[in-house]
Amino acid sequence: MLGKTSILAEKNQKIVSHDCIIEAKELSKNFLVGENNIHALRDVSVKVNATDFLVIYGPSGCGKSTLLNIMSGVDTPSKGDIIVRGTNIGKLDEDARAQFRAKKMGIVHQNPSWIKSLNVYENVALPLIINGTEHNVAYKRAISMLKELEIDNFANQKPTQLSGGQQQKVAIARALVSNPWIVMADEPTGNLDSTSADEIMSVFHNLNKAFKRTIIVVTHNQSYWSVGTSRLEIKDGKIIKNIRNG
Amino acid sequence: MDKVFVLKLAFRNLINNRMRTILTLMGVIIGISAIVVLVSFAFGLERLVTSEVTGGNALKLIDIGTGSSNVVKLNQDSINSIDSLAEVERVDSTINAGAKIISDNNSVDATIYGTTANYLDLSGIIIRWGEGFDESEDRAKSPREIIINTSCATFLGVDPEDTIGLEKDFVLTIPKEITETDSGKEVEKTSYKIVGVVKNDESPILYTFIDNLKLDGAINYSQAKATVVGRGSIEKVRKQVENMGYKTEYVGDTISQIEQIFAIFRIILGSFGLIALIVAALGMFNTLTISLMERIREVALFKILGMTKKDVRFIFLVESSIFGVLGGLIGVITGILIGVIANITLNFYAVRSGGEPVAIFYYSPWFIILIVIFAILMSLLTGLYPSRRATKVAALDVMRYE
Repeated sequence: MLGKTSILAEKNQKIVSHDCIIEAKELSKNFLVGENNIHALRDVSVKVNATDFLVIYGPSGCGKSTLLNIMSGVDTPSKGDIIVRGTNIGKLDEDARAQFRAKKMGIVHQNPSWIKSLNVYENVALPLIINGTEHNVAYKRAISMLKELEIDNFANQKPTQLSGGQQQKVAIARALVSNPWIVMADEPTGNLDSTSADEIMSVFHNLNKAFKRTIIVVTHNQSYWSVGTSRLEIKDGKIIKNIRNG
Repeated sequence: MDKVFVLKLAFRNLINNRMRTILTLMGVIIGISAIVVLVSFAFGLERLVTSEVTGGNALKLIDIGTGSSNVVKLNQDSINSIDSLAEVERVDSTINAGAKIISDNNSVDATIYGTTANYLDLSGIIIRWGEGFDESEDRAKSPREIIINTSCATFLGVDPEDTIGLEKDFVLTIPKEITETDSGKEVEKTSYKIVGVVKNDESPILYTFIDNLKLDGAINYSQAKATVVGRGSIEKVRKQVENMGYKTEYVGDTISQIEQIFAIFRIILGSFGLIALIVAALGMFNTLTISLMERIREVALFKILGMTKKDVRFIFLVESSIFGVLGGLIGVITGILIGVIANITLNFYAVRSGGEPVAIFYYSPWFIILIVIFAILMSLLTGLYPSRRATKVAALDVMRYE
């Protein structure tokens, strides 16, 4: 799985381990629920280096997913800056953030979503097509990606016909197909049995070690706390632990 | 984004909801075909009526007469003057006179026109049996040739086709304004050979070569038809001729009245079809909105994967325009087929009951193109709201709660 000749080895930017790829500066995020103002994040500042495998840990509702959503540009902060390789993505409009995300980031969710009318390889090819790649070229690359992850035998099936673990691997293939800088996963093992969950985490580990991809995984499962090279523990919207490199 | 992919995706989504797609499409097809059938029917009727009025080349023709004037005369000199006008191609004239057909001690009054084959042609008079008369210079030709109508054949008690070659006696009365005498001229009984029969049962009418009446003493003409170079010259030539003191009539005046009436008729019939199309548009709107609601998680996924609002809108507009393109094309084909079948059925019964086959439906090419464009525009308009709504989907909320 993910050999040295992987298409991920085509990464075009020079990765330096101490390059800061994401910098969050005093991030706050407030939600208005009814008449109550909920503070999901309070003055969170964090730096993520290019070769980091960051595990964000915390109980449900602590704000870890909100932080990930702001880092990926799916959401914007109420206050503070989120700088990804020099671009303050929090200040970009929705379309510019979408285009930035499409080119530089791969995202994996707890419950992967699919375009139901498309089969596995077509779903995997989506990020490339959205980026403007011609669909046949995108399909070829998607099938190569599925081969890398040894799940190409599902290529012609509908994603919803696959097991949870298989779906999550396809979701990882989709996140990787456009060869992004950063892969972000929100509770990727949340719905999986322990064997499948370990398998998924080992894929992320391999991506980080062999291909120097920045990996950010949000989890509430303490057993994955030690997998990351950096760890962030959040509680009530605040960072309570920030451990780097062990 | 790759347009081919978007098109494939749209078709897949429509096929995935086969029954709903077929029902929605049927609504559009019914609406479009209803408009095509009804408006083509109005066009067909208009053409039928117009061709009845105009005959062949009538839109380039000006009818010229003296009206009730006793001063102005339409004679060979005036015909030559009109003929010499720059935008006049030719002038054909006719002389009207009274006639009595005599057969076996019986007689019947008729109208005789001394005219030319070209004048008959311009007047839309078609010789159904036999041929036209000889227009050669040989005036001494005996007997003279005449064309009768079926009403005369009935009087003669002979089938129209059997009258050809018969010789009958006619007494002509040429009015005084033609002969320029005090009391006109009664021409003594002359034998004419029947050379053609025109289908017209209304009243006995006869046609002979104009020179025959000139030999009998006709000096002036009753009417003339000036053929102009094109429709654009009509008004100018009319003015020139009227300045000479003659009255003119132009069939186009009647045509524009007919066109006005049928334009209203078309609008009324088209409105019925439009109601069906509005119902179809509502159905389409409903289908697209439900489709958006069902696929809201997919829209959220597109946005999270980095799709811009423009591309999201494009996906939904492509889907709605498929309804317009397919519905428009199939609707037009269905409408034409319905018209063709109705026409064949109608003509079958018309021919069986002795009538002539007619084209009740006319499919104007510009109307067909217009209706397809209209269907596509309507579908795009219908898709506008769901597609706009799709761009406003809050991806994060959908992923969180849906």
